[in-house]
Amino acid sequence: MPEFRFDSIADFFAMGGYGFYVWVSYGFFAVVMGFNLWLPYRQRANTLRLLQARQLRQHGQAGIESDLRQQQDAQQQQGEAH
Amino acid sequence: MTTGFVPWLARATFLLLGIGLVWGLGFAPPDYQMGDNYRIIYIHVPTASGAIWIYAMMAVMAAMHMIWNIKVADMVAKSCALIGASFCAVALVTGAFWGKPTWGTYWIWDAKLTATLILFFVYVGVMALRSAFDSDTAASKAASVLTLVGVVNLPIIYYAAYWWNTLHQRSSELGVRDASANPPEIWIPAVFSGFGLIGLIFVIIILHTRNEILLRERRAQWVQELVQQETDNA
Repeated sequence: MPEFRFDSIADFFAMGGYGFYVWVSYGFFAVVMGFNLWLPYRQRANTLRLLQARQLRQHGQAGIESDLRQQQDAQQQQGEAH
Repeated sequence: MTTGFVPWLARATFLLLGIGLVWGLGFAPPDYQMGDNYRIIYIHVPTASGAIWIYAMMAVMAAMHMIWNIKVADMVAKSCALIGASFCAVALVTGAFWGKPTWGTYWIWDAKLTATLILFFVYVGVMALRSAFDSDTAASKAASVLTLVGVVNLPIIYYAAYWWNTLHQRSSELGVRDASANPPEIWIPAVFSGFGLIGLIFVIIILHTRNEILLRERRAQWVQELVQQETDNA
């Protein structure tokens, strides 16, 4: 088993005098990767909001539902015909 | 949005990354010359090689898009750009903070460093070029061409330390055959953080590509149904 290489937590943060360089590097890494993970979730919410607004503008709420029903009915009829 | 194997991929990613970084920061032995400063290796090396491989993937996607006109290849290529630029930026910044205590400077116009900086600018250029067009088709075509031109830079970065004798060291040998090279206590955590970051690359590219598909296929029936479902759930 690998052992913990530092005597105390303060020692761990000090990194043998290189604490500034090591922690700035890991901190920058964490911030950039966190941003990269967060961004697609925010973009998904934005995209859905945009597409909802677009649907409402084109059809109105009731219009979408009847459109979808008609499309589904048409598909079913196609399936039966085969 | 997290369906199928993506949550499992994400869990595996965080597990590997967690093990690799905790091990590397706290449990790997200090280097005999660089002391604890070398611990930056566990993020510097995987992000630097990640920046190169993400670009290679982006170029393959760009080629597939141009040759066979595969739409989803272009969407994946678009998703590669930001994560690739991020990896490149992290490699450059962590390299600078490793260079200061070991080389005495944050930056030097070394062959490998300069080529990596150029890679970062190419990533940014591809993103900027893509966003400069109103038409999706024209944007994809221009971004694909620039991406393929930028491929010449990849072998230059990879072999820079062998072709020119400047400052950046060559890749360290793993101590599998040669006992004087890096011992397993040092390189095993790097394997964990490396595979963790490969997982992270794929998670982020998949999430981005899904958004891109929704946007570009907005006229498709399944997207309209999905949007309808999300409206009902909200």
